Amino acid sequence: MVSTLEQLEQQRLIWRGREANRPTQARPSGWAELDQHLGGWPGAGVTSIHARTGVGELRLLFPCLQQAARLSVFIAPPYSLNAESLEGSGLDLEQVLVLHPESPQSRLWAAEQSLKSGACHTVCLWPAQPLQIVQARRLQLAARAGDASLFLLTGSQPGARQDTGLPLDLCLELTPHSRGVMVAVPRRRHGWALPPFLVSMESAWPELTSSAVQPTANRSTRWRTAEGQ
Amino acid sequence: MLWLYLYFPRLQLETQEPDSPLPFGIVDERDNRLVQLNDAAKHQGVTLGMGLATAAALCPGIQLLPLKEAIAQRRIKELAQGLYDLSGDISPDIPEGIWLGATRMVKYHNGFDNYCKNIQRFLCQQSLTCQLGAGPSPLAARLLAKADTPLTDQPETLAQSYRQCPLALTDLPQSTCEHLQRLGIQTLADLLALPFKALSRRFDADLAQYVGRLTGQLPHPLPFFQPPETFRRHRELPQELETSQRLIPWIERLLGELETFLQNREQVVKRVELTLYPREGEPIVQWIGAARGESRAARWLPLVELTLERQPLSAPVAALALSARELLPRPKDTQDCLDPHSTASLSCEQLVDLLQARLGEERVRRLVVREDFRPDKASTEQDPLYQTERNTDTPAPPSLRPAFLLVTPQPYSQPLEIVHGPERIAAGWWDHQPQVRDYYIARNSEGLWYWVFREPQQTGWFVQGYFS
Repeated sequence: MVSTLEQLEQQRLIWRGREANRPTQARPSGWAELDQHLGGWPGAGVTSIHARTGVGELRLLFPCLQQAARLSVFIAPPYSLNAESLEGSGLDLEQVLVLHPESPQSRLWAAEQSLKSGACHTVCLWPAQPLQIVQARRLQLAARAGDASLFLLTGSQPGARQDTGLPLDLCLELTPHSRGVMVAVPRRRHGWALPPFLVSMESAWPELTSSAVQPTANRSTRWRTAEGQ
Repeated sequence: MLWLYLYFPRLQLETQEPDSPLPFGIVDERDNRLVQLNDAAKHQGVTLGMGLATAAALCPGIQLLPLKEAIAQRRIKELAQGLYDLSGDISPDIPEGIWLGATRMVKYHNGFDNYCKNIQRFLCQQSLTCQLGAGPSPLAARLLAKADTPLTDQPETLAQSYRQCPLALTDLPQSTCEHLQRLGIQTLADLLALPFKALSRRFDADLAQYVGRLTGQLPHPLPFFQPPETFRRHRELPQELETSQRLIPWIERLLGELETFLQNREQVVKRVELTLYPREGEPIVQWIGAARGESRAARWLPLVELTLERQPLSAPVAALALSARELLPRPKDTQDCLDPHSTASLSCEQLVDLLQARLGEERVRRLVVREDFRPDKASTEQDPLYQTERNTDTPAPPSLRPAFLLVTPQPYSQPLEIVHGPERIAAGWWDHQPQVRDYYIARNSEGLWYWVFREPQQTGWFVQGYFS
């Protein structure tokens, strides 16, 4: 006989305080505002990022990928990834894999294998269709097993958010802003939804902010810092 | 000297039809006579040397296979390789037997009986019918193996037993045997009673040479088997298999043999070649790679399974072969016990192997920067396992580049706000694809960041990339 409490727990309607003590280790995101509000990216977990192409969704991830000593895997990006841009952002191209699986199923398969292999630091997946709860759960378990973070990048085509009800560690909605990216947190594990806040990219990508006044001068400092790392 | 001869009377039959309950026979197509039969056929009354018509009349259900020396040859080489673990001085006698130089091996195996037992145990695992014979010379050993006399290493007994053999069992041509029989020489003892010098005078040189080698008066040089430097196994399937699922047990067995082969040599292999032979048409060759080098069958099998899953069989498979050519010394295990990720189940290379096996080699890529000013040419993808020497002094990109590139630029007609630019890229004059473009960083009305260009003296904007 299943008690009401157990039923509620199975439906994930109960949040237990002691779970908050064992969230996976968060990873510094490299953005002061993001670290302040969220404590960094979920270390071994699934984050969904809902953004139109060109907002700055990958730029938001680059500082985290820079620190990776293991592989970063990009699965089924909608356009070709630019090696020059990744290298310019400080990523080690030897540690980057790009996969182009044929079928939607093999995208998920590749993501699961990469996550649980333990050889990957981060997996960025562009899913072909909205994930089912079982699939999201499997990916989450794989991420925990391999100590890897998974970023689900959705919404490159305009459309409704696809991740309501999925067991994800963090959901983000990005909207463009003249000084960087506006980040809204509609859902997150072990915490409340947050009102939108601005992640300023003025120092990292001065060309991509409308307030840039002296782009050439700023650029040289950026390259120096990239080389110094 | 003591020699051992392993005689396989049904080698091809037992290679092609290991344990079939149906009556099977091998036919020599030159004279249409049966040369090998399984037990089921013998029970029906078919005998060796019988013509096809008689055999078919006695046993209408008999299945016949043509005699092919290549099959026996391949199997004997594989057996020689397997025997190499037990014995040195192996000389294959194609197409029906193997000689083993036993003199030195008896001491190694601690006695003749032990030696024979070990060899018989090996042959048992191969599920082959075999008659063993020992003799003071290679030819005597072969003769006694065919006569199926009890094994012994006593020289006197051996000399006596081979003398009693009838001439028909020897390798002398039939005409010579008949000639000798007309002279009243029925057994080898009669022939050996003649003085050796008289033999060479009265008969042809071949007979004299045979007798000389049999008795050990003349040297009999044999080419000894050298284990090959590469691995190759071929299997004819008893029936055509249509699904890769049913092929897996056969492949697993071959991978097991590969593992033994590699472990005996302390070697690993980075790539195996699996060839599937359909009944008709070109064989299908599949390469399966393991970047770090691997010897264990348990690691190879999932890679092979994924590769086969990706490409369903187009035709039923009648035979398969597994080969490994580039053997490498086994790498030392270098695991850092302080690294928290060293317990990871897979290394980078193993992950790439796995992904490539399932998705296909060309779908798993690494990014490389090439020295070119054209953005679409500067960024390329290549096989992640292909090692490139790292060019440390690649200049940093001249300017900010977008993370996403469009392979073919898209025309764009919506309003755009130019934020930065222009950056003129005039390149390609060296390979006859000249292009002059002015690139701008722009925002569209929704605030998304585009990388757009315009060609001088042309109208219209094109999107080349997104600053994602």
